Amino acid sequence: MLHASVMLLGAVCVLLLAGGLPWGGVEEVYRGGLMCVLGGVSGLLSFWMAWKNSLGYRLRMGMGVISLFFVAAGLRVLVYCGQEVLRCAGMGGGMWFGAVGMGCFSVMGLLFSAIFGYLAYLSLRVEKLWLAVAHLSIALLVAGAFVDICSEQRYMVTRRVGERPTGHCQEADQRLPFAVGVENLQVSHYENAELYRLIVHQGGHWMPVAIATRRGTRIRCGQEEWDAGQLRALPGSDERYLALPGKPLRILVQQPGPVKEYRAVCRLAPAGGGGEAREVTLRVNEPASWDGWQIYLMNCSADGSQVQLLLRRAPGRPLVFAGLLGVLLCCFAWAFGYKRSIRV
Amino acid sequence: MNTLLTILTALSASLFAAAGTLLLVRRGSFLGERVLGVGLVNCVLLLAVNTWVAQAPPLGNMRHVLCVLPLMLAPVWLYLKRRGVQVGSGMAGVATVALIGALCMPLQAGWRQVPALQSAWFVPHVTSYVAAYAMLALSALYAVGAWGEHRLDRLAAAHMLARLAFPFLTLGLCSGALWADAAWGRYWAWDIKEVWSLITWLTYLIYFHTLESSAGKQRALLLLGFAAVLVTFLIVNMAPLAVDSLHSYAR
Repeated sequence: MLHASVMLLGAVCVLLLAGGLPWGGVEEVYRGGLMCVLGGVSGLLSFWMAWKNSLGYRLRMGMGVISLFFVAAGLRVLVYCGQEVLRCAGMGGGMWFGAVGMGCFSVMGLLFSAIFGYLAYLSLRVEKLWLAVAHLSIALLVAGAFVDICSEQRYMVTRRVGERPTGHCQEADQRLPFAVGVENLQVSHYENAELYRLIVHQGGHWMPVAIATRRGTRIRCGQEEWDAGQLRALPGSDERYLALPGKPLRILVQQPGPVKEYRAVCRLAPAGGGGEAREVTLRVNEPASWDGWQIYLMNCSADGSQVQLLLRRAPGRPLVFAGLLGVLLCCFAWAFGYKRSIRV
Repeated sequence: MNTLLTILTALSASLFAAAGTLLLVRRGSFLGERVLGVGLVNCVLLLAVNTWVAQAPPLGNMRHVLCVLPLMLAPVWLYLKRRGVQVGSGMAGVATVALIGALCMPLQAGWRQVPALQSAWFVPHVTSYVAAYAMLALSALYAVGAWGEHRLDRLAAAHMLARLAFPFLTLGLCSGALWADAAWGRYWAWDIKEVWSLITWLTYLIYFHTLESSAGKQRALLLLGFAAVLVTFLIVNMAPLAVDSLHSYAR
């Protein structure tokens, strides 16, 4: 069985190599059916190895896995309530009571995880069992990936900022159970003290004509240079400007730096107009959830008038996450949990 | 500030080179270990200056990562020292090569953390990979050292290091998947960097599945695994294909 596992892992590696060569790799190789077949066989083999490794300890493994499930549940409570604590504390005033209440739930989640973590440790103390759970986790991960391949729904939608959801789904999201609108897009930039645009008033329009650079306290553009100490803050903006003397009218405006963050308020309403609408703030890396769907802020247009959202429903996601966490935990337990002597 | 960064990097590299030489001449040399310690303190200073310049955890490009790499080896050095394994000279060698590599990379003083990198997963994802790569480099060094003279003790040290590195490699892979799920709405995108990190992980997985095989095969697998690390860490980032990669900001 070990030989079969090694051969299978080797085959997956060869297939990945075919697609992943830095020069001339063909990505389609691992998007094809062969990778699915190899993934399926890996899952089955992992399950079989978990079964074999747990021989004589299956009850303990069952107890350990159930305990690990409760550890994960406790950690989920800890993270969720911890986020709520920060949110309530940020609001201040009477919400401090809410923050304290949520803080209590967080502590309970932590205690829950600690108690079941200890029980899991007691159940899975045998080294072979950690390996069995690691194999089981890989099987779980593969199962989750297959569930997603078969049933994941993804829609990339573009929304005009300020457009409110009418309750009626439109264009690509005909099959969505909710309507989505975006308001109040905010884009912030890093400060860029190095580059400035030279804008000239010509024919009734302001035209950018050159880029000036700052070196120390001087700003230079061609043969001209100005004192950076004369820069003034642009009203309603973090950018700075300098009105230059002479004709035609010229202004030196600080060039915005790279994008620091963009966030938008997303308004979700049930399809058909009934039910309660909900508002959530979306940021990159912080998707929102609605009735089993995840809503991601993916991009926005350069002028800030449109926002691109990803709406996704992935039923296999919890299985994949459980598999990932299981593999991770078991790897650490296997590598650090037992003292081994080494001859050096 | 750029000059200070270059001086600190060069000074750290010199200190590690000196420590490596002293420890190679005399294993467990008191002076060598002290110089190694000073090199590590210098690296902490370098990390602090890099953090100040970048206004964020300095893990966003190759130069940043190579400057952090020696620090990742410090806990491994102390852990193995407590267990009677001396890896000081190897560690100093790996740290020297990493810092010389950092000096060859563009400084990118204007680097700023783009929105996709502003995640709680950023630091654990990158540091776990850097720690794993540092340990695997050391492991490969010992595997090479065990080649000619059939030094099984060195192979045992190489195995120990690979075993310590593997969970961190797994942490990097798993945290990357969880982060990608939050940022891009998919936990696996078959991006070239992801594919190569999976190849690396699978190569070491094959190694751990073949521990019953001969010493020669084990050495070969350890070196093959490290070759995959080099492709993932260096070649993929510099190859033309990586321009379209979701990880292109790591160049």
